[in-house]
Amino acid sequence: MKARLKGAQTGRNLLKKKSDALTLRFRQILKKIIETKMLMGEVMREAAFSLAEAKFTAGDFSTTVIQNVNKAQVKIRAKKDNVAGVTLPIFEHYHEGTDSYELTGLARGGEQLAKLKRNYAKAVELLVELASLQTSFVTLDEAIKITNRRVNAIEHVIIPRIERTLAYIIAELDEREREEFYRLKKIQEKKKILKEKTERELEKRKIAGEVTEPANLLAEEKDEDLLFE
Amino acid sequence: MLGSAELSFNVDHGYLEGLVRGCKAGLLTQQDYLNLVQCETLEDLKVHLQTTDYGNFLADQTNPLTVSKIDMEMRKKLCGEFEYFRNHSLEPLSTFFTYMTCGYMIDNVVLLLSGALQKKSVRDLLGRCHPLGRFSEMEAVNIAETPSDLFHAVLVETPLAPFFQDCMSENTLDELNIEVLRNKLYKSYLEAFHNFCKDHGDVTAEVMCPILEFEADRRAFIITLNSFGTELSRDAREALYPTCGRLGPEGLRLLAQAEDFEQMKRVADHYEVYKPLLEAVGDGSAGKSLEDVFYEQEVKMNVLAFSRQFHCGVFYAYTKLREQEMRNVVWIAECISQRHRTKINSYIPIL
Repeated sequence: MKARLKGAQTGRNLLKKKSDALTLRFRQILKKIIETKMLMGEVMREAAFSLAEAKFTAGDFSTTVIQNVNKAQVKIRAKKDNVAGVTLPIFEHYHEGTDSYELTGLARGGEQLAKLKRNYAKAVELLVELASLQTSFVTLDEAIKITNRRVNAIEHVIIPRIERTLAYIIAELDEREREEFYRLKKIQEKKKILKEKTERELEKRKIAGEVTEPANLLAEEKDEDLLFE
Repeated sequence: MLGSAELSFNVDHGYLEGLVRGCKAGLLTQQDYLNLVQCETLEDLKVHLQTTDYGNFLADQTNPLTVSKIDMEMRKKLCGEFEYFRNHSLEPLSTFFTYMTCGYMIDNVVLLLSGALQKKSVRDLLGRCHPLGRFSEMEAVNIAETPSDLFHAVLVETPLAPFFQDCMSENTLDELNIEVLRNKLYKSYLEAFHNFCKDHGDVTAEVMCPILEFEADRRAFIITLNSFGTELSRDAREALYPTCGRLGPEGLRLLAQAEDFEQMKRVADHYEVYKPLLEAVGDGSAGKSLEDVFYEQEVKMNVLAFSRQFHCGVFYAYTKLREQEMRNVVWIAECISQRHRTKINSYIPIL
């Protein structure tokens, strides 16, 4: 039983440590998310403005761009990161293939288009980062809730239960011991009383002469049975 | 002889010239631009535009007002005016108008081609074509399977046929990059237009040829600038330069050899017209870009076209100025709607 109590306490300490580590990571991610979102706002604004600039110089190239879409150039790989036993997905972007819009705007607005491509590439990179941060945030949140629930359960339910059981057992044992002790004492008393009672009776009958002492062979001087002296 | 122009031009084209000059007087002035720049929202912009020649063109637009709606309405207005001029024109002015629309037709054809190559639905593409570049065979584009089919079935009928024939001499249409094709077509178009104006003679030639030469050289410079660092080889680049400009074969050959901006500038130093233009280009985002400088020069030349009478160039100049005005208004509207007013004054002032 005591071993069980010990086991429960160790478990609770470990889980608390895990919960603390997760919370620490959680706060870090939260800070980074706030920073990235602010940066995102700036970058998107910049990118939208460069789109306006490019449209001013190059005319309307949106249809050309939409028509020539075939494969994605920026792709994402998912990697796993481990924090105190919780796996978090991390997205990493990589470029594949050549720029199929290299020659768009060759006659007009090429410079602005290049700037536009750069701005939006930056925006996409930020978006990918933000996506991995947010998934980690959600996963971590779940994990922290579960861990805290377990910690609380152990602390407020399991350990008191074990402790109560332990206390009960000890109390029972003590009580039984006391019972035993008391019984022994009582028996001794009863025996003593009985003994005194029989002795008094014997005394009484001896005085009444009903009961003689049986002949004491050793104490007799004369032996009746001897014929010759 | 100058005399013949004054005598014969007004017979056929006098009404239209008068009309276009009246429309030109309705272009936004500097004062209008100053008012527009000070608007806080797009609704203010709409109110200011109502006092100009645009009138209530945005009146039946539902909320919310977006920049693309403004753009669409302005383009509709321009197309309406253009079609009116075109329908009332006689030869040789109608051929001139046809030449003017060829530029937009090239853009539309390239768009439909790339759509057909990708087996996309032609319906939506038709909606996105430039309205000034409409030609009657546009709906028939989707019956063609490959670009060569497209050419033989559809495009032979259009005015673009001779331009395609120039491009098709070496490669088939299938292998060509869509952008290279577009630029090649534009090159043949410019040269054909230039020849037409020269043959027409008189004041038209005197006014239009410098404008078209400037356009050709401008394209050469911009193509060079934008092809630094791309996969376009020097020979491919040289094949895209229109030859009807002032740069001539010598300048174009030098340009094809240029590898960066400095070398380009040195080529331009040989021609006193382009030297100050390229020197006015600032660095990075603070100064003007090459495109801005060229736009200003184009606007100047177009405005000068109105100082002569009895030629077809006024129509070309008017269309170009209107387009520039559209771009300016859209730029100002975008700056207002995105609340990014730092560069709101970098539109190209016209008058």
